[in-house]
Amino acid sequence: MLRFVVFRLARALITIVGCATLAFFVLRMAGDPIIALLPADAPPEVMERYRTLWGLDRPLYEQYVRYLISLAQGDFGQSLVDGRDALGVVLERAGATLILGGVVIALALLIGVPAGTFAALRRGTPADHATMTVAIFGYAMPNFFLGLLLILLFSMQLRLLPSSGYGSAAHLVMPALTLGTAMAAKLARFVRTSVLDVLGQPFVRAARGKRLPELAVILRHVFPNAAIPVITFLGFEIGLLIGGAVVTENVFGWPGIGNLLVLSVARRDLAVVQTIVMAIAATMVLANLVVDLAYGWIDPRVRLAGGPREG
Amino acid sequence: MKVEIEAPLDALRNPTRRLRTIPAVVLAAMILLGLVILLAACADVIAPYGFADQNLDARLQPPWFAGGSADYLLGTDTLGRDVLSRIFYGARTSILVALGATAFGFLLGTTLGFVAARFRGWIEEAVMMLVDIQAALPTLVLALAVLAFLGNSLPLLIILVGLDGWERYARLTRGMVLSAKESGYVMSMRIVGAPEWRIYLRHILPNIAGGLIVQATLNFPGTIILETALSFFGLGVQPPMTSLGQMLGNGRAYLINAWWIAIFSGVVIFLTTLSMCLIGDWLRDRLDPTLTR
Amino acid sequence: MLQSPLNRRPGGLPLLHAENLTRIYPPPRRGLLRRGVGVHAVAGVSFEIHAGEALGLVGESGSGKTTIGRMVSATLLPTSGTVSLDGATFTNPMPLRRRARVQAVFQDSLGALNPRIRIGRQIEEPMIIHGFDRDARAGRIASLMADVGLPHSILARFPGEVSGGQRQRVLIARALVLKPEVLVCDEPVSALDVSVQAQVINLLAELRSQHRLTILFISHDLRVVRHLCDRVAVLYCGRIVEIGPIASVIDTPSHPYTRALIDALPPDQPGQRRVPSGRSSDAGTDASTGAGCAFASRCLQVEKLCLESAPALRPLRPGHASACHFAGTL
Repeated sequence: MLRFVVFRLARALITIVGCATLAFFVLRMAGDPIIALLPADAPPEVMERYRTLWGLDRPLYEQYVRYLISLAQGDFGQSLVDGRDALGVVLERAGATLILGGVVIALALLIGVPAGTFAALRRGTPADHATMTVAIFGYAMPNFFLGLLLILLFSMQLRLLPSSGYGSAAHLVMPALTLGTAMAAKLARFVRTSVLDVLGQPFVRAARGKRLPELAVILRHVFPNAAIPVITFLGFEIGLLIGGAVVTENVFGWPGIGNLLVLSVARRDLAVVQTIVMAIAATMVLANLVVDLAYGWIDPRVRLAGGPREG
Repeated sequence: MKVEIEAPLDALRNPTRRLRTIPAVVLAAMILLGLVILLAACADVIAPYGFADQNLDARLQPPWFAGGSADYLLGTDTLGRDVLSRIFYGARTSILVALGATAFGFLLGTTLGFVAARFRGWIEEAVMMLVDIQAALPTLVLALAVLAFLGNSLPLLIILVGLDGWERYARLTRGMVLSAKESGYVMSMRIVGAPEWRIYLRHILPNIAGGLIVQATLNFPGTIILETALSFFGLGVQPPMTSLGQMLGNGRAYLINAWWIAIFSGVVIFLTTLSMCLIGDWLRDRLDPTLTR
Repeated sequence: MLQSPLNRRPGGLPLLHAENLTRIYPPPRRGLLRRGVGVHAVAGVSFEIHAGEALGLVGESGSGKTTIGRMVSATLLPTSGTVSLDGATFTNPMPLRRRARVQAVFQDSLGALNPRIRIGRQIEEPMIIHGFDRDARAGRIASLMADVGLPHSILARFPGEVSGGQRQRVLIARALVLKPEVLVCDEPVSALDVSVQAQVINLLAELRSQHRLTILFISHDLRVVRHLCDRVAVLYCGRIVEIGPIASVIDTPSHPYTRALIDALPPDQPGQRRVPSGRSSDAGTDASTGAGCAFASRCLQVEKLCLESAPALRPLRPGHASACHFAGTL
């Protein structure tokens, strides 16, 4: 088990360094941040001075090595806009995104798991078809469009909810719905498939043959086994959740990282954009690491085989 | 619910028969999608106005059923441009970008998947590391950053949108090629001395194509949404060209007094992705009965 | 050097010569660097087949039959040892011309055919690879279809659309299309119904004389081997335990394992019963296990000597050898 954890950690670290490398080179190739930041008529000497100040006059590989070293030391650079520590700027916004993400995941689990299980148990009935139809609508709905529809309905027509902002539960309702609908829908579809898979297994038929109450069969035999693919699925979904959060936060003016990303991109604030990319990559890698470890913990076969990919 | 015991065997025996019965919903989705594509393709012919034609005297006209005139069926935007015409042209752009992006991601992913499965060793490790990195960076985030700093161009947009999903094709291809490599038909070709290119292109590729096509269909809605999301932020397709996402993004500011600018394009996006989802699900269930039951 | 000159028959050099074949399957990787011990699927197997001869290879599942078949048909490289044809050792990659001289038919006829390519095209493809022109290909296919007894209409079908017996005939036709001298048949009939089995075996016997084939016939079924082969090698745990002319081996088996195999055959006459001569136990599949005879744990005649040293393959009579300490006294 220890070797498994170490192996996973090493891979996670390599992936994060890879992301940092990609972010660095792609954004550096994108153009000279000095030209973007200083007024166009700034005298060349001033430009040169800033270039030296920020180390932009060095060769690219040297900048890269310095960047990696400072990353390792926890220094993510300074915001080119106001000179503040980039990591601080990003962390300031992390709370709002985490609240939104947490509520969305909870919402998706609360709706998706029961709906999917229900549909699987009622397989082929109108109830199943109805649930899955709702799910496919929710899943095909682009979140930015759903957001606008919600604003149109709840803020403009019914005047029930604030269309943007942060601070109260009412502010949270529409962003959470916007982001959570697709996730709950996907989860419902996925849970249905997983539960159906498990229901077909011999051990479930054996448990039913023993005349165990249906609820006991589901809780004791079906859920633990269906949970394995569902956990993997959640790990993959974190990425879509983050992408969706960028859109949702901007539609509703939610002051999270996604909002900051679009703002910083517009301001060409290189260090902050890089830090956000890193923060997102780290979150994703961490989430997948947790999933992998949880997977190994739930399913001993994975642990023994040395990881799903080699199995 | 009828129990299908004979169906899989039958499907194996006759690959064409299983495609013959199409559920009504899927048929409707196909017709709808076909209609959107047809209207988009014929935009030049059927659009009553050009996508950039302004009529400053007829700004923010509502659609005909909400009190507007029959001159502008779905109303006009802030510059007096016809919403209906712009939807035709916008759909054309969105679909073309999504198709180009899908082709790019598909080619990149399957090629790297093949390479990984063929050569194994450190090449495979390197490819899988790239896959891990791509999977850790949501494409929307990457594309936002790159487009903002590199500036916009249509090819760049297509490449960035295409990056979304290449890692899924690569993973899928690698897995399928690895198992096909061990199959009897590949061994049979090795015994007769078939060259590698023939084994991979003529024998393995046709056998895994079905799974790849299903994956592409399932990916397509996400690709359309990604393009429209980028345009929504003003980082995708640039004016004077238009796309569905760009119209939606522009219309967002006028939601109170001119809802039609945003809503109609949103409806078209939604119907397109919904149709693709229905068709993709159905294809997956039909062509690949092992994936879901 | 030849390990056992005993199984050589008079009449010059053998056409196919397998010498000291060993195949170790690597263990699954655990962690980044550490590897466990490999599995010896085949350990030091040697045999020769003369032109026109049919050698049977029998043994239970896991005995290494298929591994030997794959090494002889040059689809798997031996860990050590060599296979040579007319004195020329197999290499990887192999020149096309030499590759064509050894062809194979495998058990899983559905798996051995590409499900998405029409049968005709699959029979034709080896000839395309080997540069036959169009007319030669058409002529060869027509004559082979007649030889294996298949209607021409089957060429336009997909492998999933024909019966198992027909598919096996297709595989035989494809294996013969390059005019090979050696045909490796790995359990070619065991997936078929008994009535169809007989047809295919008879077909192979016919084709053998018609095309002057040298055959390595792999099977778990001694009856089928008896019907088709001149000589037989009995394989246990990756080693040959007995080899000799088919009649000699079946009439006077000199290894307890061969005895057990023969006793397990259904009696020729109904009502006749035989005393079982083997103990049931799990067969090992790893040929590398320690000292002593690999068969000792299942042998009824096991002695102290059997647990201490492994018997080598020793000649009993010309052309018949056995790897049992007590071969002469059984």
